Parts: sequence; structure tokens; C-alpha cells
Amino acid sequence: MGERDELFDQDAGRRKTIVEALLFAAEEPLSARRIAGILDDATPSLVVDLIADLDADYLREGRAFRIREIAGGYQIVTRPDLAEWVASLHGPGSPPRLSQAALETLAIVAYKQPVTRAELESIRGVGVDGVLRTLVERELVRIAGRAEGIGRPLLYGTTDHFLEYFGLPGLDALPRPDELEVLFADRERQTELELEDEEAGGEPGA
Amino acid sequence: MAGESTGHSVRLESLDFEGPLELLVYLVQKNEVDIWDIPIALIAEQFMAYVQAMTPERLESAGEFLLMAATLLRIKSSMLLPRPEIDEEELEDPRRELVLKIIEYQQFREIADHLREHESDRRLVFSKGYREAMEGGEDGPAEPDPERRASLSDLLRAFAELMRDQARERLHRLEPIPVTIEEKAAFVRELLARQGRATFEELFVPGEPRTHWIVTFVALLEMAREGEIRLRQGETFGQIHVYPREVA
Repeated sequence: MGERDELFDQDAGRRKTIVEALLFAAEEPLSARRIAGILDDATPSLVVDLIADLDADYLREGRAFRIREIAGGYQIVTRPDLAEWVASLHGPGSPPRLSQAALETLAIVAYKQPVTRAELESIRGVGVDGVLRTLVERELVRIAGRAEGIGRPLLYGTTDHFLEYFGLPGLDALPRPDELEVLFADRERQTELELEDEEAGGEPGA
Repeated sequence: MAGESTGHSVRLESLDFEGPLELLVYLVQKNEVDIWDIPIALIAEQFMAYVQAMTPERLESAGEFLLMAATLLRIKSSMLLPRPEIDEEELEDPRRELVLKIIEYQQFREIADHLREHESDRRLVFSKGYREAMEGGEDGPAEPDPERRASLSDLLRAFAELMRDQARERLHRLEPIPVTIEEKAAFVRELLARQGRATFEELFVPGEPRTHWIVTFVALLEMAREGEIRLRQGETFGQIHVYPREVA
């Protein structure tokens, strides 16, 4: 019994070490499925457990890294409190940030995808031609097909690179519309509730 | 004149709004008015003052501002019309459509704020491939690097993507292809003559059968081989642009 447990621990320990090696050597986030495929004798859910274990080790031992879930995969990253020093390694000046116009356009694409340029322009109230081209060139947005209907306009969607750029595990990591503290939302929600009351058969205005 | 009617500490004209909705959100917030009961006359007046003071550099988006100004004035005038009291419940508030637009826009602005926070947080953690994940300029290079030639594999990848995106139509019969490479080459030439350059996607007419796209692609390869066109790509996997030979 005890011997079997020991064997199991050895096995788990070795697999954890392999997972660590893979995460360390990879240029981009690795999915649990991909790692499981390499390990051969592990399921993705076991890989997720091993990764959580590894991350806990890093935390407990005060190591310089953590493991983050990014774009549907896992990646070893340095701790945020070490940013100052690691950034110096990359030379002066951090990579330029996205413009407000680019962020707003990306926000709409993320929630409305697949979406046409006309829809984006209607929501933002301004032309998005230049911004959209830039976003496609930076691979934050991709052409996701063509819409049915007149002219079959191009449809746009976000990319994995979008998730990587913002360090998001997946699109569902973005807030749901009802989680937003939208400036005017209280009154809107109130109005919705009032409407529901009326539909429920209550006397309007009673 | 804007300064006379109001006592704002900040001159509105000195602020930069990318579009009319952004300006409207600002005005609603600054005046602390109820979004569901916007004093349209006041907002329209301030909106017009801003539009009138717009600098020539901003004129590229003047059309959008003017369109919104017209909408505001139309709403204002329909608010002035006497409304039959009986129908008041059913009569749609002329402001409603605009208000919903403002709210929707504001929602996405707040999501954009979330993205901005994620962008900042992301910059505190480093990993392999950090540069690749973050690279690119503020609004990136609008023009593709004319030095970077698109390779054949770049072309094939772009074409494969296009074909994948096109609705699959199964061909059950063998039919003669009703278009020739020469015709497609002429089409490409004409497009380039008209607009100077084209994106790769632009050359593939939406709704055409896959066979036409394939012929277009072959025509492109031919023209590139003959040196008639140049294919450029701003960055790896980026948009491919097609230029006629003459343009430096």
C-alpha cells in the first residue's frame, strides 16, 4: 500500500517536472490538451491539476514565477512585483499601448463577433476603417468570414493574439454586460424591471 | 458665445472628441442630466457650439458630427410639437432611439476601460514571446513595409483563409470554368489602375463561385511572376497588399 503510494508520488512528481519543462520551453501558452498529448498517459484535467500544483509550489517557495492561464493555455510568467527589473531587460520604453479608438473598436468586436464594419461604425458613431485595418495588421482582429446579404461584407472577430495581448484566459474572462457598472445602467435596469412588472399583469402605475 | 451662456471651467472647444457619441456622453455627464430625460435643447445648443468651433484638422469627421447635430435638431423640433394627451403612453419619446445608442456606446467604452486595465496588468508579467505578444506601434504601421515582400507561402496562407471563409459549395458536375485567367488579370489591372493599390481580399469578388477565386489567384501568381505586380506584407501573417509595378 505504502509502496504503491510512493510509486504514485514519484510518478506524479515526474509528470509535474515534465509539465514544468514544457511550460518553460514553450514560446506561447500551452493548452492542457496539448500537454496531455505529449505526456501520453495523462488527461487534460490531470494536467490542469499538475499545473495548479506547480503554481502552488512557486507561490510557497517564493519563486520568481507564477503560471497564468492565457488564451486557453498556460504560461510561466514572472511575478508582477518584479516587473520593474524585468522590464529593464527589455530596454528602455515599454511597447506602445493601443489607442482609445482601437480599444473601443476591439471591445465591440469582442462582444459582437462576428461583426461587420458597418455595425462597428454604427455603434461607435465614427468611421473605423483605419482602426480596423490596424487591428487586423496587429492580429488582434481577424477576418472571420463574410455576412450573408447585399455585398456580403466581411465579418470580423478577435484572435488568440487578442487574448495574449490582454493576458486573458478566454473571452469569457471579460465582464458580462450586466456586470458592468455602466454609467447610466441603474435607471435602465429599473426601467426593465418596471416593464417586467407590467407584463406580469400588474396594474401599470398602480 | 459658448462662454456667455454657461460658466464652464473648461472650454469645450479645447477638448478633443473622436466622434459625436463621445461628445454626447461627455455633455450628459457634465450637465449631470438624467439620461432618460435629456434636456435636448440645452444639449443640442452645446453640441452645435462645439461643432462650430471644430478646427480644420477635425473636419475629416465633421460629417458624423453634422449628422448628429441634424438628429438633435430633429428631436428637438419633434419635442416642441404639441402631443395629444390621450396617446401619451403609446407615443414613443423622440429621444429614445438616441438614448439607447448613447447607452450602448457607453457600455463599450467601459469595456474598453476594462481592456485598458488588462493591458496595463499584462505589462507587469513577462514570459517567452513577450515582445511578440506586445509588439506593434501605437496604431501600428498604417502602411505595409514596402520592403517586406510577401512570399509564396504568405500568399497561399492568405488564399487558403479566404477559401475557408467562403461558403462551401459542393460541385457535383464538371463544368467549364466560365472565366479566363486573362479576364481576371484584366480585372486586377483595372482595380489597381483605379485605386493605386489593393488588399489581397479586395481582389476576390464576394459571392463569386470558388472557381472564379481560384482563377483570380492563378492570375495573381502569373502577374507576380511576370513582375507586373508587387505583393507586399507589413508583417508576418499580416495583410497582403498588391501594388502595380510602377509605384515606388
